[in-house]
Amino acid sequence: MHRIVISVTCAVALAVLSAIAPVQLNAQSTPDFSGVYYPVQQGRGGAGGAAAAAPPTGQRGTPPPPPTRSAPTGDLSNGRAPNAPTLTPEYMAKWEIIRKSRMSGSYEYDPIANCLPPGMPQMMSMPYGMEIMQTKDKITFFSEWQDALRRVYLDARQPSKKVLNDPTYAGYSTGHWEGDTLVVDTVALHPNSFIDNSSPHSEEMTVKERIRFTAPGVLEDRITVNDPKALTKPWETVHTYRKAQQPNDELREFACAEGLGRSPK
Amino acid sequence: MIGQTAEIVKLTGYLEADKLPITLTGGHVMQLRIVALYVAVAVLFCAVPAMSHHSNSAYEVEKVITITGVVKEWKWTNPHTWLYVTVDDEKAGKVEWAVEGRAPGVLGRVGWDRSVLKPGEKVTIHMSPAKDGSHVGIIARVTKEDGTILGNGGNNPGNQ
Repeated sequence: MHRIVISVTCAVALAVLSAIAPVQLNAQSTPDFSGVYYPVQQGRGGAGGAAAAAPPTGQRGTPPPPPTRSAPTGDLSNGRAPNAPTLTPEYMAKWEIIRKSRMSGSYEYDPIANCLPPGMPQMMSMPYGMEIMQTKDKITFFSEWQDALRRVYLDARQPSKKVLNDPTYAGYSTGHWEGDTLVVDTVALHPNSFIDNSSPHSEEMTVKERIRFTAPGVLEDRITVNDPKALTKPWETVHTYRKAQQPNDELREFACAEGLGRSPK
Repeated sequence: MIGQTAEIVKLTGYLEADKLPITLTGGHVMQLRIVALYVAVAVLFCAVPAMSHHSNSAYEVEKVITITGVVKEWKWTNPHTWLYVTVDDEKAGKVEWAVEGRAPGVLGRVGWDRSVLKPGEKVTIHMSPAKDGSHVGIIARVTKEDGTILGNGGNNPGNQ
């Protein structure tokens, strides 16, 4: 009788362990990033103080102040930001051409205005929201902005010669887990895109990312960009996103070309 | 009426700081939560080109003017929406304005939809004008006649 009790207890214990253990191990080694996220507003300078002084939500009877700006400047008339990538003279000269073109109102050097993908690493700003789809072997990032997509292969494959000779806007990304952090390397990037909103780069640009949860539902992407031709030193930037709740966990189609007047009548 | 400075926002119908009535199709009035009400203003000041689309390249975004007019057409299209209004300027007569809005995806998360503005209704628009002086602008905010404020969603359209 005693042996039967022990046997049954062991069997139950084993069954429970075998059911729980893989889940726990999986949860510890590879967090699940799946979901829809929006960028977290960073505390910036300028007139942001006025925003901070706005009455808190819920206070009744006080109207929001009239806006004093419509949008951030996008025509580069303010020059380069202090934290912008530091370009080599050759690429600074290219940027000056881009700047003059933009300030004139031309879209010639504006791939976004031409409905092209923002590309890496610019696309990770995800201004309109991002959806992450994750499996064991692949993680896919979708950007509502421009309907842009990138895939990160997690199954230890390496970019082939064919891939390396075929640069794309999103590039070719491989990743691996270091504890709770997803480390991603991106190569084969098309030079017809920008590092930030306007800084040009060469085909030699590579992007390294370290992506992790810094708090429940708060995802951080620390990006380091290397480009021996375009940059005098690696450029680093950090994006932070917050996981969306219903009903905001649904992204909408962007269909940029609709605005180019190319939709069928 | 066109002013160079933002005018005081009409408050008629303003019920709560974060709950505003929005008139939808069929005349039904629904209480929609416009969570980005204040934040929409806040994010306007963000110096980061997160909204780095082409649309604002030709606008004087540091300046906001206010026009009041009658909706001629509201185009719910990608990549950006467009609001066409007729402004009755006492000096120049009736003037057509074309005012650009953010993407349907962004505005859809802060209370707008494809029928939120109807031809014939009166609206007050806070906007930044085009640099070339044409009757074109980019929306900072639209106020309906009942006081409903439609913000532009700022940079965090989904999670505020």
